[in-house]
Amino acid sequence: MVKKIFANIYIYLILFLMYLPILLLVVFSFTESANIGVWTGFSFDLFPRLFQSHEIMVALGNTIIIALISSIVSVLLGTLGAIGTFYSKKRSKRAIEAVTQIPVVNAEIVMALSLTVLFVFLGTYIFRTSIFSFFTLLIGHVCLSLPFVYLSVKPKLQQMDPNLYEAAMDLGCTPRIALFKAVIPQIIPGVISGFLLSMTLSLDDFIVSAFLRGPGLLSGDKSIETLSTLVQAKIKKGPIPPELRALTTILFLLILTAIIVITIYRNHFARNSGIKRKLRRMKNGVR
Amino acid sequence: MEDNFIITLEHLNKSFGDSLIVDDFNLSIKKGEFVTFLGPSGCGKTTTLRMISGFEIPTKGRVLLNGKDVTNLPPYKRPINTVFQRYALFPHLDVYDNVAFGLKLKKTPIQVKKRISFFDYWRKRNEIKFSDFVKNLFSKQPTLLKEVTKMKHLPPKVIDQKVARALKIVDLEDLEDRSIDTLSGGQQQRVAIARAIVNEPEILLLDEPLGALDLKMRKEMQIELKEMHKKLGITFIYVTHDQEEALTMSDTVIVMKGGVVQQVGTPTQIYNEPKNAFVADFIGESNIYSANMVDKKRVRFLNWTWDCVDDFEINENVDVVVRPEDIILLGPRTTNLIGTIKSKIFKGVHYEYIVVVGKSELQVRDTRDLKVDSHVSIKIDPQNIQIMKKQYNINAFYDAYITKNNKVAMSDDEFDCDLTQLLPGSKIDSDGYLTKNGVRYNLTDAPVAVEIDIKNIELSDDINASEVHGVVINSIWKGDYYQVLVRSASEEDYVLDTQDSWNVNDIVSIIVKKENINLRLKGDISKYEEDA
Repeated sequence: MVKKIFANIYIYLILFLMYLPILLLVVFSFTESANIGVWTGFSFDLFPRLFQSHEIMVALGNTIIIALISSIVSVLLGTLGAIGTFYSKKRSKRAIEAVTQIPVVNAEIVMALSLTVLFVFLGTYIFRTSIFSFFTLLIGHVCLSLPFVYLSVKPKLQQMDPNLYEAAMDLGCTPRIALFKAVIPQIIPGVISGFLLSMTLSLDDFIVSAFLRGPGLLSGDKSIETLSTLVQAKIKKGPIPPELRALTTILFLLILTAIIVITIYRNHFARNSGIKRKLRRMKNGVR
Repeated sequence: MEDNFIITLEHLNKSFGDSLIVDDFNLSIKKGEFVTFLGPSGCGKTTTLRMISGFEIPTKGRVLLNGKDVTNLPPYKRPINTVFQRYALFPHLDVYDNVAFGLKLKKTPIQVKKRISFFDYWRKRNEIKFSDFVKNLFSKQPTLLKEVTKMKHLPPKVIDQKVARALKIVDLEDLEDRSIDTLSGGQQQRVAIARAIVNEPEILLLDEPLGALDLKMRKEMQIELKEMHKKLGITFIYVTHDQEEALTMSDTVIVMKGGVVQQVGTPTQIYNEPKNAFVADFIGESNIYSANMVDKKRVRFLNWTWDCVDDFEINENVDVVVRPEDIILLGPRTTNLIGTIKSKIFKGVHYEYIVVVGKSELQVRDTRDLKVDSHVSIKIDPQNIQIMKKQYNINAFYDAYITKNNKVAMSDDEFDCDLTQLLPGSKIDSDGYLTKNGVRYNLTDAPVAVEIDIKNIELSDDINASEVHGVVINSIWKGDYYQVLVRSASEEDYVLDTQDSWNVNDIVSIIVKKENINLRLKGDISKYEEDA
């Protein structure tokens, strides 16, 4: 009994410590003070100011656009790559697997720097102009998240019954339909977690963004500003803009609701595959 | 002639890289037959099945379905469905959706009446007035119609009925809405069968479908499968390595070894008249001996001359098989061959005796309780002595065993051998045990069948070259080499091809390289797992 109480206290203590900074930030987003940690009375002012701040809105927009596009691209490439590798011969499989491990353990700075060198090289000798733009940034983000997508899809493929694809073909699927009807449903949890991973990686990435960005997107002719590069630029000159506190609160609440919704969906609605059929059966009075 | 045969395999060959998996496979299967491919693992039976289902393209040869060449037709275009070894059910779908999977993909042509188009009008512009065509185009009940064939999915009601019927056949009516992971192994097996038969295939392929079930469940499913076959009336092609399963269920059994068909026949033919020593050994318990035809319908083995019914050439060397239940033990009498009972095991209905005659052993089944060490005389009915042509390309020993020094012994002849071939990926550890993934196997006294190619035996007149010695019995000039028969001290015969000439009665050492001895374990290797 005592043991159980201690175990519970331990868990809640850890959880409390984990969430304490976030909770503090949420609390402080409801005060106007320019400096962090100084309470100057309760106010909602930061929120309207946030939406009026052109700079922050542009950076937020850029960040979301890049995160979405790079995640979609990495999920497509990574999933197809994982499926292709899974069904390829042993030797090439081993080679590809070794290669995909490297970016995961590699320092981000190494990749950012090497891509920069590559693009500068291409810009100087082949295109004869600077090629830094949204696309170089996109390539950087895709390179960053692609191995993670591969690594989250691969175990799902390994857990899958290897005969499923053939079983689908046996029952009349063409190879492409068999892929969508038999293989993809088995690996979709891996694909989704790969997508979420790439979203987080891309959303808070600074190094790759700082090195590879060029003009484009909502920033127009100026260099693309993402949230992380914006914050970096701001704290070089002064304090963090107070509006960002409101932004993080909104982001936190959005993610919290998303997680709650997903959990509820999983627990209550996941197994609804037969509903249509059951309704039909009731209508026809078969049983 | 091909009208009767639903599927014909013509000179089917399949090799992966350098290894030949299926070698010149010829077979015709009649409509509605229950055919079983039987053989040890790696004999090419599954590969042959996969060529029928379309998952493998033969290297050479043709597959004919109802007389039409389907060799290169992809699996989804063949009217054939498969029940996979480990079911391969779709875990994201429930029982109903698994069974309905094939039906939902199916499209059937349906005749629909459709308003005619401008092109139709133009083609018949002499018959139809333009004003009528325009009127027809905008009227709610058009009169100018044409018949079109449309490919349409089956209506949900039809799918419901078919699924319900299939589930009824496999006895799973009430489980439609269950998810796959809540079903037992046997139930999953039934869903897999329902999923295949609901498509009304012309041929149902079953790839060791009962392998994952426990013994009792397997026996039940055997009977049910047989009944299903009768009820459905379609052709079943079944793959198994379990000889009992094959004999119980099939109309025709095809025994395979090393990619080559050994014998095709009904279960009774296969059991009672095995074509060669391999089939005899693989199907059921058997006593196999090298023998010699000493006279017309007289054969000599166990140092005794027996009457028999098979007519072979006089002096021909043959193999003889006698089933343990066909040997009759009588009280000792001088007119018969006399042996001594060495051991007995009670098996429920009968006793299993090992009777020693000279240096040979006989396995005998008898319902009477006889004393160990007592002398018995041995009688065999002439029609129970099955004589088979000897295969001269290999030396086969069906009563060998593994010694505690990891050698293989035929009677008292011991040879070094490579035990790791019994279990792919295994190795011999420092204590001399076969190991794989941390599991140890103690193979001492394990019975094995041994095969040695006649090209891989060497003789030497250096008496120290090998521990096994023998006497040259005969030597025949075969054009450009000699075929030599050597009998060892423990009365095992070895046949070999050699360039050297040997004289009859020479005493020689018999040398066989380790890698040239092929072993096959009798029974499953899991029996020999050592308790840690």
